[in-house]
Amino acid sequence: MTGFAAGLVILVSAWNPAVVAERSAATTARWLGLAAAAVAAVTIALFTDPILSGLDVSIPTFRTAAGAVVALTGARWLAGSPPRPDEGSATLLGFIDGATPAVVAAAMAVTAVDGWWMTVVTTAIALLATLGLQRVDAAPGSVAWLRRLIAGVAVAAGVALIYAGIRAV
Amino acid sequence: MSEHNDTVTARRRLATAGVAWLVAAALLRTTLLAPEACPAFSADDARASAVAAVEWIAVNQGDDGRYLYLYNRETGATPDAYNLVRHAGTTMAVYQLVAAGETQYLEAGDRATEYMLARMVPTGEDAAGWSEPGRDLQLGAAALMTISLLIRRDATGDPKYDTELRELGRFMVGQQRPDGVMLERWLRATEAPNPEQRSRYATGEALWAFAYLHDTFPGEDWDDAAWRTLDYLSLRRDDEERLFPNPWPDQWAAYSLGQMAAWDLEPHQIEYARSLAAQFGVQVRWDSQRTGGLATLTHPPEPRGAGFGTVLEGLGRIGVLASTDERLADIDAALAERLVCGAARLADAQITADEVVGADPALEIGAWFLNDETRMDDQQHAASGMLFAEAVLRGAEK
Repeated sequence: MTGFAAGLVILVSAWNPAVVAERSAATTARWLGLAAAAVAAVTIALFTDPILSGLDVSIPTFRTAAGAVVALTGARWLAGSPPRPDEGSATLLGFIDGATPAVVAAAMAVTAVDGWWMTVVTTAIALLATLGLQRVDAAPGSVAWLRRLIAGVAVAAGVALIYAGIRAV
Repeated sequence: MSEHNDTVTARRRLATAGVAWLVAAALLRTTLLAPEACPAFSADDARASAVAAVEWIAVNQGDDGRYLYLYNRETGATPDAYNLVRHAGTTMAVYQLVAAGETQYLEAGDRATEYMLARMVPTGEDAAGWSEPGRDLQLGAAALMTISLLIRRDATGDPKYDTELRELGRFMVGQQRPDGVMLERWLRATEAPNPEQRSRYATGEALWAFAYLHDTFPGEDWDDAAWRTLDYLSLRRDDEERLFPNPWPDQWAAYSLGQMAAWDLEPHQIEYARSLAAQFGVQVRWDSQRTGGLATLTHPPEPRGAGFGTVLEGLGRIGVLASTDERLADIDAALAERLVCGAARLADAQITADEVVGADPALEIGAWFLNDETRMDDQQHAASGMLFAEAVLRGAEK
């Protein structure tokens, strides 16, 4: 569970652009909030080594835990009700959309093994995918199906991350 | 949520997100993300622990060479049960300590060796195993006796058991099928191996014995037998014998791979070593999260000395391979880290003079107890593991 493809699957599925797109249309303020969340996740990921050291946790153990978070988040998207529209500060809401435990855990898990640049690139792709989905004129219900599909991928990616953590020294 | 429709407010979402973060953090910190505690540990600490363990073995040994097998400190019972394979394995650990320079234990090892030599049974032309009178012969007992004698030979330079070593080797070859499968029993009734019975332990023990025989007596084709069984272990054993987890964390296979580190192993054998290393590594990481309170409840079970000792042995011997073979260089440091962490934790659980609860301190000091019971292989495997940790720590000191 290493390399660009794996990192991309983990981060994009943990982010799930369809969940964000289903909840809200694209606005500059919302997008700024999402971008701020992405920057925050990447910034935290940059400090993965000292954070894990401070927590007294090894990289494989952290990846196992991160996998559990991503898988459970995916399961909630699959089994739970669809995201509801929201109102209020669009920037704050965008930040809440992106700065989730799953995204931060995934960013740290990817950084721990593949390095910070991988996290930057894959997080940027997740962000752009969200923007694209918000702007595209999709058929009714198609974004909901995409949300479920990515949720399923998140479950699979989380389980794979758990397995990778267990099967590491 | 707003009052008039299905819309949620930013404040509500912020609160929900905060709760999600708190719940996730609390759950993780007490379960999967509990801190991994690795006490400070030095090479001298590892040596002291190994010496204390073998001291327990030696002081509780009978005049006939048998070790004390079981002791319950709550009841004071020392049941008369015995296990010949473990007798040979414990002798191996005693000789490992002799090889490390603790020559005061040579006499104890030799007494245990005499016990085995007195029970050797011819099984064919220049072949022999050993067992109690009337009982069938076990492959594992022969393999670990072979290894014990080889370690003794290396430690003392004394070749006086070379005849017996070759007899034991030929007995083991007789237990091997052409596809590398090892048969566990030799039946006195039929004077032949039992074709139905295998052992999850003895196969790896025999493999290590073959490899060690080859390194000691090159040119005698012991390596042919070793390659056959290594391929069986690395390619088919776990599926054929339905062992779980897969690969089964077989420290005897790890010993073998360490012995064969300079044999130019095949890629699938290296991958097997890597998978084994992971099985051992995750056990140390899991145990190191048993730090008391909820984290102890979420990280069962409490391991016994024997079980955790085998984990250290596995890490130590694959570490030998990883430090030799560049294909495993990426896990070399992690193997050392897990080995030292595990050894430190195990040493913490070893009984010291201050912790004796029964009437006879000699039955407790240096031992590991689980549910008030200790068995000789608790000390055997733990002592062996400590020696590997010591080697890593001495290397780090340099």
